[in-house]
Amino acid sequence: MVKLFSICCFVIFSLQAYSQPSAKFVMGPILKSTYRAQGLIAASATFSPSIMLNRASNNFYLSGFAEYHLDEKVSLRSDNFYYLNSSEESSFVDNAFRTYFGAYYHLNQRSIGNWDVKLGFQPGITFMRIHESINGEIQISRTVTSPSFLTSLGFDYYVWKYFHFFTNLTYMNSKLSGLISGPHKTDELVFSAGLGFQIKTNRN
Amino acid sequence: MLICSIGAVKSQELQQKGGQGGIFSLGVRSTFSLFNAHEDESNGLGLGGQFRIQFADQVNSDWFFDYLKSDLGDYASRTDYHIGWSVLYYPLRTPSRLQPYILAGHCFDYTEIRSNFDRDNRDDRLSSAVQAGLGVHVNLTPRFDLSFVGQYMIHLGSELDAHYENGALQFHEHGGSSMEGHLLFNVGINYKIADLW
Repeated sequence: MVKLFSICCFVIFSLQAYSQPSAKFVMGPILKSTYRAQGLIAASATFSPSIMLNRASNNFYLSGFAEYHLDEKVSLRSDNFYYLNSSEESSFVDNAFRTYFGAYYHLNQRSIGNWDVKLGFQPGITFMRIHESINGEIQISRTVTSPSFLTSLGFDYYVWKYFHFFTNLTYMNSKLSGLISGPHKTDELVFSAGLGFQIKTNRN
Repeated sequence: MLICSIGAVKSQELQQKGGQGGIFSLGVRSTFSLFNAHEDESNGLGLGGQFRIQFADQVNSDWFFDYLKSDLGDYASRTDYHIGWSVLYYPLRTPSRLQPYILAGHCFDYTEIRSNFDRDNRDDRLSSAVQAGLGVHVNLTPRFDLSFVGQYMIHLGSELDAHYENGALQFHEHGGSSMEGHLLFNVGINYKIADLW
């Protein structure tokens, strides 16, 4: 997953570099990009694969975000992940919903033009139901509520005043307590990418 | 909707009426409880929120709520609800990118332990606590900070005990009081909303 993410980043950066005749003429207008500014609201939804870090299992989520840019450095953002399915026939997770709210710090306030490189931290909560093994029998557990948090690294590329491409690599930490089969760590690494939509709410 | 409502908050420079006193800020945080009284107890993870009201240039206050979960072995789970406040003292007079502080305060705690096998088998208690520690604000912008806090919290209250009796898990609330401490780490983000005075 990380390898795939690195390759995607490399290809996107390379395309940007090769598509321009000369950096000398190109950097000027790109640096003046004002797509991302105070008051910008961005949102999108996509399908996101994940790797469970505490067991050999891969999940698929329907993920969505909404983000408000307080200024060029900081945005407030909510991320939500709804479990769709797993790649295994007998999956560990039966159903899950993860919801988070926090902030992103944007690293490129001046230097990379349309690119937005950002780091995020969001406390949140996880609702999860699993298939647990009790005396050799697989049963569906009750739904467990657990405190959770995520950290995220994101790369966005703004292509127009209403659209941007986004990629996010997210680490989600959580643990299920109170189940007959004992506590279960449910950390996941989730990759999200897609087309994002944005609208400016501040004309200045 | 939450994002849109926050959009109503003006994101320009905070209009300060004088010094740092009166600044009101709002935030969310994650809490990590490193150890508790029971020998079988795991580290806890919590979700919380806080608001701050700054009293003076070097004195701030933090009013918080935390919801924490941990495990007692593989036989029970523990849930804690913390509500409390801390006073933050900044040794440095001028706010800078890194703003260290010392904190101390009070907290009220509701604790509940439940069997994993029978969710009706439970016990709970109320306790009060005092806490003290060290923290640092990383002021990413003039209005927004990322804060790291390490604090030790000592609860004074009755002791909740879990053990097996005749093959069944039993919970007991012992009479009298006991001191129970735990180390808490918080990572939080805060946004300055307004200068109230």
